[in-house]
Amino acid sequence: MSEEDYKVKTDYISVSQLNTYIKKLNENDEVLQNIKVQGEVSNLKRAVSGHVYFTLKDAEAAMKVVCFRTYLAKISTEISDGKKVIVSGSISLYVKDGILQLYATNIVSAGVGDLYQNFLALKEKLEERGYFAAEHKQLLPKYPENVGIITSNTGAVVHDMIRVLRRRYPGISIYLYPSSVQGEKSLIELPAAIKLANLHAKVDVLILARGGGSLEDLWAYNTEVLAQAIFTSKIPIISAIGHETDVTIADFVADTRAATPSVAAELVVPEYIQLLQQLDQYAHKFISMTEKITTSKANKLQQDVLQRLGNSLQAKLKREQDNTKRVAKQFEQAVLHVGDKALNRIQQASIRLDLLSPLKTLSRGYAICQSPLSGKLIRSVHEVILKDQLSVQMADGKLHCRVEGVSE
Amino acid sequence: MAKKNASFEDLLEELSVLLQQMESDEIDLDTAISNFEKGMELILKANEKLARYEEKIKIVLASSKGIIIKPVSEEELADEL
Repeated sequence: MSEEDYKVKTDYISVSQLNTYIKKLNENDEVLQNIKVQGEVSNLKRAVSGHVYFTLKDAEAAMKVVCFRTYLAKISTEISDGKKVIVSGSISLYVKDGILQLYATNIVSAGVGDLYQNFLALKEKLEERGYFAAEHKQLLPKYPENVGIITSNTGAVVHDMIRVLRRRYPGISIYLYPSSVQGEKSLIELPAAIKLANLHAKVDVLILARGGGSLEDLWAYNTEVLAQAIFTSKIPIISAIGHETDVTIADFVADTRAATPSVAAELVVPEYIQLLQQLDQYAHKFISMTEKITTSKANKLQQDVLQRLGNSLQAKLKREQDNTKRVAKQFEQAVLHVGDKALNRIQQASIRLDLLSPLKTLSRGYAICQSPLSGKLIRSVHEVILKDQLSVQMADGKLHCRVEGVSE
Repeated sequence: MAKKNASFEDLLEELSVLLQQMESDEIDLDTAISNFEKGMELILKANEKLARYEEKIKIVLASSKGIIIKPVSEEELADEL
């Protein structure tokens, strides 16, 4: 080996050595070992192994990112091309290719912080406009005949709701207004579905439903366009978006909020059995009330009739009594009248009688001559014969006489 | 009397009005009996209404030609899962 050879030998190192050296430099740098980098995802590749590779870039630079399967499993953010993300991890050199890479341990959406700020700002704005005010809330119909659902027509949510609706109310009419529930399309489709339901004007109530998800997933429910569509809907809307802890702008604007889609379905329709029972109760009430009324009216009627009968009898009796009294009075008066007249006549008669009385004549010296046997008045000398006995009534007594002679 | 296309809610509302009248002391027998008859008719109607509901799921879509309504079975929906 020549000196030149040696020099050359000592002058250079192998690529492996170089790369290993750079890798070590990186690994000794605290900043590079725990770093968060924001950028846009591009060139996303999902390997069969389950690892994910992409390029994180901004307007001027790019960096390769690898996220291993084990970390990926814990990351809820959906990674897609064009998406702005913040990648946490460490920088290291991939020795084999000599490429610096960001080894991701966590990836979150770069928008989340902004999203939450936007959420708060929109909430405040709509609140000021009165979108959440109680006076604008419509009552849910008690007995809807047609129920509308706005959600994805694939997935568990719609099935859960249909199951609950049918369990409570077999035979309920269900209208689906399908819409994407996340992503760009949902921003347009959700408000459009509400408008379509209003245009269709068939359902009595709308359920706006979606399964749980991150704030980002639920973003379509936090837009002003959707808020406006809910606010102007003539059909009452019950919102059931995500889990109980997820609260969206749509929930605030909706007429009623349900914790989950299944709960919304429970709230929307009454139980069929209960309706039948309610009707049954009404029928019973009607029958018992009518019975009660007719019985009490019949009793009252009976009383009335008796009362009236009594009254009329009494009146009649009184009339009769009055009549009797009147007749009696008339009779009495008539009698009195007759009596008076009679008395009068008697008096006059007695006066005349007095004048004509033989006693008075006798007192003037006349005498009445009678046959003592028959009492016959003797008015003529021819009515007696000699020796006849006569009784002569004087004013103060009688003379018993015998006829001794007759002269004419 | 009930509207021809009275909703179940309308029918119940009318029923409770009739019942209220019957609970009043001043109701006369004729009105009570007429209310009873009306009530029974309304209950029959409401019952019919409950029985008449047909089990159906329909998908409503907007198209350039207007609203499209197509019936869909739950099984068909399941297929889309």
